This record gives sequence, structure tokens and C-alpha cells, in this order.
Amino acid sequence: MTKYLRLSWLLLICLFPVAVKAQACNSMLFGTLRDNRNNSILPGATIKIKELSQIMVTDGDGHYHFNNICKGNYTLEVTYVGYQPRVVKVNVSAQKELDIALISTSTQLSGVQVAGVKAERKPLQVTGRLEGRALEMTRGQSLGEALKVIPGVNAIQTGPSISKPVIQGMSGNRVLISNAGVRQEGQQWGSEHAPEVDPFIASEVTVVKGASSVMYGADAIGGVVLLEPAPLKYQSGLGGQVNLVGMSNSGLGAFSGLIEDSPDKNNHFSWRLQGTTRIAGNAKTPNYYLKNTGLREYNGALMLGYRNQGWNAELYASSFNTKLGIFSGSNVGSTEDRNNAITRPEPLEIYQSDLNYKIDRPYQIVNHHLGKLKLSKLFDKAGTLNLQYSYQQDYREEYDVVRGSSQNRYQYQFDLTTQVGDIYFEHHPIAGISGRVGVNGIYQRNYYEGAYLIPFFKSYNGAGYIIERWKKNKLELEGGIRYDQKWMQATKRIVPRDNNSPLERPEFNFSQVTGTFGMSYHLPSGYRLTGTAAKGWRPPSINELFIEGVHQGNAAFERGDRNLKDESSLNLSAGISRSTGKLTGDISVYHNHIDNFIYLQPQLDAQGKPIFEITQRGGFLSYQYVQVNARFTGADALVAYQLTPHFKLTGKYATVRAYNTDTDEHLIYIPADRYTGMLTYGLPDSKTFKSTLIDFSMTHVARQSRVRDDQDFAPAPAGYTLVNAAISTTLPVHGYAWNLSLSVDNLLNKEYRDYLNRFRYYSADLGRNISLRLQIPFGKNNKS
Amino acid sequence: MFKNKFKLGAIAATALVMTFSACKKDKEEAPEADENELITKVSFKFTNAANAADVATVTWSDPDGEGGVAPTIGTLNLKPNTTYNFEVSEVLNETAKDPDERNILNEINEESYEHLWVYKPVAASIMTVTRTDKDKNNFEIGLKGTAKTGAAATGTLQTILRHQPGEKNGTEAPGSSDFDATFPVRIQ
Repeated sequence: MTKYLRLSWLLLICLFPVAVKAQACNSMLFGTLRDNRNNSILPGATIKIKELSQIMVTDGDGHYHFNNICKGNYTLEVTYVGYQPRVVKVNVSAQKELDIALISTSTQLSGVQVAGVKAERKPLQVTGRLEGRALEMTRGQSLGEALKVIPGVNAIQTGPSISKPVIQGMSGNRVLISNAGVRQEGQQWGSEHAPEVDPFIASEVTVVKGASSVMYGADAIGGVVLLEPAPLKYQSGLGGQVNLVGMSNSGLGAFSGLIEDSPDKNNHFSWRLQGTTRIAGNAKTPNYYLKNTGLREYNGALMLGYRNQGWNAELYASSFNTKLGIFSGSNVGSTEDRNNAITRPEPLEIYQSDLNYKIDRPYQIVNHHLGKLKLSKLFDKAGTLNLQYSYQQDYREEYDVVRGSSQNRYQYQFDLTTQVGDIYFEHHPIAGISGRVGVNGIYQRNYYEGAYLIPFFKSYNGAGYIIERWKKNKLELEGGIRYDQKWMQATKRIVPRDNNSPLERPEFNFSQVTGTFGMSYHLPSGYRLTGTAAKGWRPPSINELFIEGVHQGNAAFERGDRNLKDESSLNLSAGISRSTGKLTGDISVYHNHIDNFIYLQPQLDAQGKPIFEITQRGGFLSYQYVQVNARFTGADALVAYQLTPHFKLTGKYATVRAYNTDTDEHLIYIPADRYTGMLTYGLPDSKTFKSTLIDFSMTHVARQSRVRDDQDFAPAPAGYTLVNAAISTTLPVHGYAWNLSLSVDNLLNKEYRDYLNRFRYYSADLGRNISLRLQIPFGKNNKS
Repeated sequence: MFKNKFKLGAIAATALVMTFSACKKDKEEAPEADENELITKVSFKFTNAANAADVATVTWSDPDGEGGVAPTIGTLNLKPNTTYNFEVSEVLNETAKDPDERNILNEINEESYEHLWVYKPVAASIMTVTRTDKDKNNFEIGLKGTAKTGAAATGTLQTILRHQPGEKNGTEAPGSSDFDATFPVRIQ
């Protein structure tokens, strides 16, 4: 740790004189990239200022933006897969707007070449994006943690190593994760089941806020997290990138490497291999370590691509493997245990360990394997036909603290396999309307061994959908409709823990029509207005129907209800955004109404007293899954202002109110209001350091004062304010751009507890964490 | 026409899935319930120190495990102002197939250095409980002890089995509860 500190001082000392010496250049160059033929925007294209070696990737709206450059003549090199590269000369005055059109290679060579792998199309909706530097600064963190920088996105945590994303107050089964174009099907039977994905795979993470069931299917009520790997490169030359991350708090070390090539001389083939390991020891709060909170993670992915004559085939295989320690002090056996733990100001001394990497019971082992095959054929006159098949297995073992004879066994084991088939056709514009029509089928099986928590089940889901977009000048309209049908059968004993109880096979049928309508309008001043109305749906999940037992670390007896209906939501949202100019940002407001909202409710008797389920460990507060009508209303905002050529001020705000409209009570486990203020200082480039940025930010999280104390085991903790700082720079090393950054979270080592962390009952949250990150590209194609 | 095409597509998508799903053999039965930490029966035997023929036994029993039918909890009937020697006489998991796993008391005995029985009479005046056995680290276990009753009264006795692997220090706080039951007590 002292090593990191010393290094950070060294960096600061080296950088400041440079800052003083360099002259202020405060010009700006920005614009939009479009297809010359149909005027569609081109997100993800690369623009390079040759003279400055500065590279920019266009955002989701096709915009690019260079800040703080000197006046003068520049050469722009624009490249985009599937389009002819273009070189543009430009004279930059104070503020220069330049729109650039690219010519598609497929139209140019009429089918001899192949249409490019375009970024996956996203619905016309409010989105948050994590890419470039912002994404790099989250490397080494889990997905749930990383996404918290996007306003309106939070995480429900179970201790330091397990976090699940929350979008606009909704989490768990209401947030869908799409990993490399495949809907992630993991075990989501509890909040201690984190998404089984390696964020290093993604070169871009997009959060679609609000219901998007038409495009992504059931469950996408709260929103969708899209993890997208960079498209394969059909360009000769072995190349890649190495990422190294070290973190002081838990002694985390992460390594991620990527290597790729297009081996044949015609560049019809391409491959990529990627691997990640993450190893961490016990996490530390400001005053003590948390025993048994380490993790070990080993992930790998392989991509193979072939494209020729309008054909495109892609094979994707990935494997995610982790072993996660669970804080020993959270291992409560009974209500009394839990209450004692809550009353203690800090965990017992035996649970305040030192920094070590040992993982004991309780722990989890999770493996997630995914295979995907995608075939596409471009028909010149009509469009692209896509076929995709994916197979994924999610395997989980949970180990509790047990007596000696069970020392070699898990207590719970789940094995979920999911196969998804997709056929869809993306047609070329007809009268200005372009879109996608498709069908989708899902087959799922779940088995378990060990103790009962949820039963065996199998399910089939079939769907058909159409989503179309019309665009004229500044106006875009999108509409879609989808029909889903799901059949499910569970297999269980009537009394699950009694081996003599007879089997039953209850069956379920769920179906729903969902729809979406969205519009976006570009104002001449660079502002863009969006509005969406969308219907989403979610059939009840297996745990909501059949769970029966005590969830670990929670000491509550949960019961499912097999008569639950499917949830259906109406999501209205409106937003304004701007991505060019001095003032940039996104502001959105939303209103969600959910019929048959499923949640876990404490059971009360006729006198209003809590009901206890008597077990061998005494009485457990009894909880039951019930359905109510719910309403979520809120706003997210991110506003940035370029104060001077060097200073940029950014503000973020997120608020959400969630009610049970049947009783007018606030729902529990909803994020509290969150405010962030950030000052960024951009240093002028020097010979050794390019694109150097220094951030200083403060985040205030208010107390969640909208829940009554009797709605939870412990009252909501106090609000808190954290201070973070970061510095990042690019070092030119033998023609390669190395990215180096140093960041400090919770700089003042403030002790706090977060309302959304379920282990706030047992310990404080994390103390100061210093992270050092280095990214090293290699291979001739990656020279800058 | 559209409907037909839709149907055809849906069949094709399902067929695509089915082709690959044939490889794994389906398990059709629910697995044996394997609740290796389950306790379904616990008994305590109280013997009058002055009269070995005067024995009181109290039992907690929940044969179908967590959930299902609530456990049956017996009442402990003792004489006033009397000293009893007590022991934990039975700890069973009656659902276990393997007879070795059925008797949990043996295992608690073998791992006595990881276990601690805690006794909490309410009101405190109804009896004084003292643990008399020690483990290899010289910490009390509580599988055996004495109970000295007070004047005639009614109350409760909470009995807790703490599991403290690598954490046992003679106090109740570390570890977690494997068993926690409260028996009604009548002293008359």
C-alpha cells in the first residue's frame, strides 16, 4: 500500500510542473457521424486527430467531441467497421462543428464486401453508458459496483463481494442482464446471488432505464444492463491488451488479458481470446477487517468469427468461475443471534480479522458457462437475417458453517441450464422505416441437491415481436409489440423436507402482450428530447412461487405463494440530453406503475403482531411473497459544465419514491437520494503525459427516511458523505498509449453503513481504498 | 398469412433449442431431502440428586423439519428447592438415512470443543443452572450440569446449542445457534 502511495506522489510531483508550463488551448471540435446513404447515425466509430494522436469514439448518438485543443489545421482519420475509412482536413477555430458522412463498403462494392458488425441496436429510451475512461476507472470491481457511477443505478449488496444492480429502484429479477447479446440466466433466488459475469469482457456497458420487454423479453421491467464486447477485428496482425489492477483495501489483484488476430490473408477469419483473474482478501472497514470476505475468480472467453460474401458467423464461449467468502460475523443462526449482532456497535473481535486470503465456510462457488453461435446473412435488397442459439449453465454451491460430519459437503446446490434460440430479420428502410421482426424460444431446466429451497422445474417460453423505427430530419419515432407465452412445471414433494411425502408437479401458464412507443427529437441547439411509454411483464420466479425455508444471513423464514399472477408494468419516461458544447448531460424523469408487484411481506396476526415460524433455532419472523400494486416515481440527472478549458464541473442526482399503492406505504429496500459533485481538471498534454485528468468528487447519500423502523430488522442507517479522488493519464511508450490511473475511494476513511447493504446489520461499510490501474496495448494495429 | 409465418418461425426457434436439449438426461424425481444440519428431536433428562428414581424428561420434537407442522414442545415439571443432575439425553435427526447421521448427540460429544449449551431460566429465580462438564480446552460444554430449583413457580427455560467452530471462548457470543428452544417450566 505504501508503494502505491509513493507512486501517486511521484505522479503528482511529475505532473504539476507540466501543468504550469503548458499553454492554454481551449478550442473545441465536435459533430455527428452518419451513413451517407440513409443518414443513420454511426455509434462506436473511431475518430483520430492525427497531429495530436487523440482518439475519440462516437457515442450512442453518433456524436464525437474533442475538448481543449489548440486552434489550427488538423487531419481527422475516421474509421468504422463496414465503412470506407475517411480522411478529413479541418481548420479549428474557437468552436468548430463538423458532421462527417461515411460510405458503407457494402453499398460501394455491392455485396462483394460484407456489412460491418454494427453495434447492437438499442431501443429509443433513456440510457446510461459506461465506456472509455469511465469504464476503465471501474476495472477490477464487480458489475454491480461499477454501474453505481451511472445516476439512477445502485446496487443491493450482501457484504463487500456480492452486489446486484438496481435500476431506478428496481432490482433482482426485474433487471435483465444481456451478456454479449445473450440474456443472462443465472440463479436469482435471493439478494446474495450476484450476476455471474466478467465486466472485463465488455468494451461498453449500457444501462437501458425503464421497461424494455419488447426488445429483450420478460423480466426487463426495471431495465436492462447490456455488456458488449468490442466487435471482432478483421484486420491482420496479432494484437491485444493487458489490464492490471491493484487495490489496497482488500489486497485485490486483477489481471485481464486479451489477444486477437485475423490470421488469413483475405481477412475472412478473426479470433479473440480473453482471460481474467481476480483475487482478493478480507475487506476492511475504517477500523477493522471483515473476516472471510475474500474472493477468487477465474474467467475466460473465446470468440471466433467468419465473414464473407454477406455471411457472418460468430462463435462465442465464456466461462465464469468464482469462490466467494461470506463475512463470518453475518452467520446468524437464530433471531436472537441476529438481534445480538445488530445491537453490537461492531462485530465481535474474532470476526475482525487481518488481511488474509483464506476463504472458510460460509462461502459460495459459482460457475457460469456460456456458448453462443450466431449466423447472419445480408441480403442486399432486403436486410439481414440473423440466427442465434445459446446454451448456458449456471451452477452454484453454497457452504454453511456445519458440524464435522458434513464438513466435505455443500448445503445447497443449484444447476440451471438455459437454451435460447432467436431468429430475427433486420430489414432495410422501407419508406423511411427500419426495424426488426423476430421470434424467440427459451427452454430452461433447474435441478438441486442438498437442502430444499426451491424445487426442480422446467419451462418453455415462446415469443414473437416486431419493433420499427421511423426517422425524418430531427424526429425519430419507434414502436413495437411483442407476445410472450411461458409454460412451467415444478417437481417437488408436497412437504419438501419429508422424504415420505408424495410428489406433485404443479403447472403454470403465463402470457402477455407488451408494447413500446418512443420518440426523440433533436433540437437545433444540440439538445435531444426523448419520451417513451412502454409496457413490461414478468412472470413470477420459482422462488416467489415455492421457496420455503430460512435464507442464510437473514434469519427470516420465507414462503412462496403458488397462486401468484404475472407482473405487468407501464413505464412512462421523458428525458433531455446534450452531448456537445460546454453544457452536456442527461436529465430524465419517470413514472412506473406495476400491477401485481411481488414482494416479501412480514406476516402479522389479527392484532398486528408479527408471526413467528417456530423451528429448531427458535422463532423466525415469517415472510410471505404477496402481490400488491406499486408505483415508482423518480428522476436521474447528470449535468456537466466546462467551466474553463481546464476545469469541468459535473453534478449527478438520483431520487426515487416507491409506494405500495394498496396501503400507501413506502416499499422497503429502495435507494435513498444520492448527490454527487465532481470537479475535473484536465492537464494540457506534455511529451510524457497525455489526456491527464484529475477528479475530485463528493457523494452524499441521504438517510432512507421513508421506511418505518418496524418494516425492517434495524432502522435505516444515517446518511453519509464520501470523498473520492482520481488521476488518470496516457503514457506514450514506444508508440503505444499506456493508460495509467490512481484512484482513492472513501479518501477520508469515513465509517458509514449503506441502507442497501444487507450486511449493514453486522458491520460498517468499506474504508479507504486506493486503486492503481494500468492498461497496456500491444500489436501493430494498436499503435497510436 | 402473417400468423402462419409466425408459427413457422416459433416452431423453428423451438426446434433449434430442442436439437441441443436432447443431450442431457432429465431427472424427474425430487432428490432425497438432505438437511444435514437438521435437528428433529432433543430431550433433556433431569434426575433428583437425592433420589435416583425421581426422573423428569422433557422433549422438543419436529419430525417434518422446518416449515410444515410446528414442533411439539414438552413441559418440564420439577420439585421446588431440589437439586437435579441433568444431561442432554437425545439429539436426533430422524430424517437422515444413514444411522450414523441420525444421532447428532455423538457428534456434539466428539466436537465438544466447538459446542456450548446455554441455559436461561425465566424468571431467574425459578432455578440456578450450572454446567459441570469441560472440553479439552477446559471450557464448559453443558451436556451435563446441575439445576437447583427455587420456590414453587411457573416460568420458562431457554436452551441454546451454540456452534462455535474455532471460536469457542467460554462465552455465548461467538458462532451461531444450531438449536434454540424454550420449554415451559412448572415447579410444584
